[in-house]
Amino acid sequence: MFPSQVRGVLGLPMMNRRHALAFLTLLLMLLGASGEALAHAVAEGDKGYIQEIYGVHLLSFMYLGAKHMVTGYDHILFLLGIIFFLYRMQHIAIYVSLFAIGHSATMLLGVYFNIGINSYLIDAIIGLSVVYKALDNIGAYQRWFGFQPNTKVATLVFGLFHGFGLSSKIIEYDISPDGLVPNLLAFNVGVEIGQLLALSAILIVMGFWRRTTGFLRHAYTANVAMMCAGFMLVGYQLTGYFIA
Amino acid sequence: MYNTDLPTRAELPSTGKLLRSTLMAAVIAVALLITVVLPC
Repeated sequence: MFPSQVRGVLGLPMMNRRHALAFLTLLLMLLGASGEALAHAVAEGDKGYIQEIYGVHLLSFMYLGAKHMVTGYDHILFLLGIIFFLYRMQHIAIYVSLFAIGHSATMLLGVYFNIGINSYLIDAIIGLSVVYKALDNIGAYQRWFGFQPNTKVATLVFGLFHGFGLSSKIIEYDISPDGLVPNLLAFNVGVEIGQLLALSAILIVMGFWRRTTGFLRHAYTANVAMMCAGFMLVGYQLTGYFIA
Repeated sequence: MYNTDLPTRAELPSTGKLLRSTLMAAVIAVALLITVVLPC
């Protein structure tokens, strides 16, 4: 059964041309968006700056948090997956809050208690969260397991992992203990601001896209493309883990 | 679409389609990683 499906994939005629076009366009967009973001640590200049300063620097850390979130390909992709099929503002608010609670908790606790996880591994897990959400969106778990895993719990749990990703990175910066807690809180506020900025951009685009007639057809393709990007993140980070 | 209001089983994409999509995503991811992302 399986080999015939493999042939179906590689012999592209199974996919109609419009799907193929949409898929390619999305991939190109994703590639275009990657560039600098794929490296996804804080830029060297920022790292140097963080190591130089001590004491309370609320605005600087807020800026760095927002910048990390807006340029952070992985967090944004997961967020896109979460809100993909949420139509009502109140639902979006609930899920985004769950994600925010999750990543804030582990980010703050992780840095405070100095719990750093290998940043390649945690970033690979974050990549997996994107794959998980994409499969969830296309109904794979309902088809394969016969039930829908709780989406709120998943959002919270993956939020916790995203937070460990943030905390691992902050620990690598070696922030001065002087003014650590206020600075961390400022960084966290910046992260949420960045998240809201990215979210509003996503919601505006999604709003127009949802009104087009082909949305549901393209939505499937888009989620497969998102899954592909998730696999890329996992592969990229695992390569880094084994090479570094 | 598929994870908000529970769809009937018939509306869900078939296992074959899902596996095909997953496999395609993984293959393209590996191909792009090797050819585009990792070399730079």
